[in-house]
Amino acid sequence: MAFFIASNIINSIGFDTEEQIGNIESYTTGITDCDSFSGQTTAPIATIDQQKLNSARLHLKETLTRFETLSILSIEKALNNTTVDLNNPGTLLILSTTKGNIELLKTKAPENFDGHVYSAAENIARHFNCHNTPIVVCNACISGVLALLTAKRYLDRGKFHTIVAAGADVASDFIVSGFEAFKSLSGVPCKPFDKDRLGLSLGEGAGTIVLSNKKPTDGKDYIRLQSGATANDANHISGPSRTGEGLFLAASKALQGKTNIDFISAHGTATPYNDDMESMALSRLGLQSVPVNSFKGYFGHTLGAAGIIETILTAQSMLQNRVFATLGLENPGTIEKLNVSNKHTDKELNKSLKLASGFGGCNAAIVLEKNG
Amino acid sequence: MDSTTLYINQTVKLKDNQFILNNKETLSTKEDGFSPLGKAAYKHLKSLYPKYYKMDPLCKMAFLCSEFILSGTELSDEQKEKTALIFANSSSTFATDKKFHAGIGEIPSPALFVYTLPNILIGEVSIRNGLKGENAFFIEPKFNALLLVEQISTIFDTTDTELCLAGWLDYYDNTNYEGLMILVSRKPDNRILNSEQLNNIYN
Repeated sequence: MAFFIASNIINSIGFDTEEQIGNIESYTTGITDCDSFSGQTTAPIATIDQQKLNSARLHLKETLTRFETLSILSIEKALNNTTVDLNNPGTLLILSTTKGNIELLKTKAPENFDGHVYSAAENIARHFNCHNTPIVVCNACISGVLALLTAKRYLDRGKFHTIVAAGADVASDFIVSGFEAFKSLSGVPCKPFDKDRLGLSLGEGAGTIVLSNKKPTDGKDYIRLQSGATANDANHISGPSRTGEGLFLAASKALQGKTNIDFISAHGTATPYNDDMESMALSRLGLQSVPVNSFKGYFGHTLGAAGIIETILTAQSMLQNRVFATLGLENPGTIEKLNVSNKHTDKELNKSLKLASGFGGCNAAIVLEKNG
Repeated sequence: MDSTTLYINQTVKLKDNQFILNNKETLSTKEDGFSPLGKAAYKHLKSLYPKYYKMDPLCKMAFLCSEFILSGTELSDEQKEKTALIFANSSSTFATDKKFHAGIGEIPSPALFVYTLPNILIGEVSIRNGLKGENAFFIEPKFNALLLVEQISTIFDTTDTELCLAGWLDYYDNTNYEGLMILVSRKPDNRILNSEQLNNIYN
């Protein structure tokens, strides 16, 4: 069993979940014009306010990279609401990132490069005095959802009682120029599922969920990660399967034959291909009338953090019985019709599906249940 | 939770300019480096797969190892949907990262950028063989048999996985690379999947 007992989000629209929800409620986006990457692109990027980050990190004594700082801050803030101590042998830290400290390639000669992902993981683990070596998931944009699924699988094995799953990625020349080279960046804040969508908006962020194998006993509503699966399209390394094959398979396995889903948090990157693919997969699953949204219009595609940040917001949606709008959407236009909206609506949500897809044809799906 | 025993049915080691299939040296080159070894292996395998030439060295390593393991095996569509791929390394995609980074100032290449994610090697092997099962890629400072054994066991216990291609594939540069790929299933064999066995094979 895997129950969510605490969480935190840090991205362009807030440093905690409350701030996030406040900005989401007011239809505020963190995707803005960005001078820092004007050499690589003119596309808007959802960066984290540096001044805010500087004051948030004043108490951190070590020299840390931006990626490590974000990760540590997010984990700290999530743990602050618990009595969890990562020094306890029954705990584990699982990190999720796509490129970690890759920006160190700018400042370090290759032979002195200490920006390997495992080094960052060691630095983060050292800060928390982790008893167990952290596990690092590096599986493109499904990393966050896969980290949560891995957490559940380890909790079910019984080796650990508490697992902290944290995902983060920072904007860098490397990542920005890569997506620009693919011509997948939108010149305006992304418009998921829109007929005129132009591409994705990059965002930086960190998200943390603390999972426990014990059901919360504080009398409040709680969320459980019920099931999940991953699957590969076996079709193309950088484009999704046109029939949504892998996502269909992953979601089918996650749903285990049940279709009583109240809400779907899609991957919804707003690229022409992704959104069409998701609509096909959802249609094949018979879920095309279930309310679905993309959170990426608020803070962009946060890569390694996306799966975790968006799962936290899915959990929040369930706790508040509210389907948040797909920001950026004006006129729906996917190959298969979806139940999307650009207005927040109230609805009782007891069971949700979170989807993710990534380069390499990978796909992931998890099912969340309230009070189950 | 079904915890039936898992067996290592096939192994391919890539080390010291050799491909070693099931403990038997299968292919080697006198020249140092992965580049000549890869070329020799591709010729030897007669894969006839044009996409191979677009791959970066890490993906070529994965492709070749999987060809040694899977060639001659006929998998049904159902088996392909139930074949998991679980891999780890320490370098992520460092060699290709450096190459891509060097080109940022001029014309960054999308063909190169896609290879700056380590799970692409899973994608390449999946596409080649039509494999649609569970995926996972981890980063570890060095070969960690326990992580692989736990991940593989969990996948078999909690999903409908019937076969698993797994391993450790690291590529820093042409002369600093190593690989180990195994095929795991419930089909009884001499080698049981456990940390000790996997460490023996690796070392």
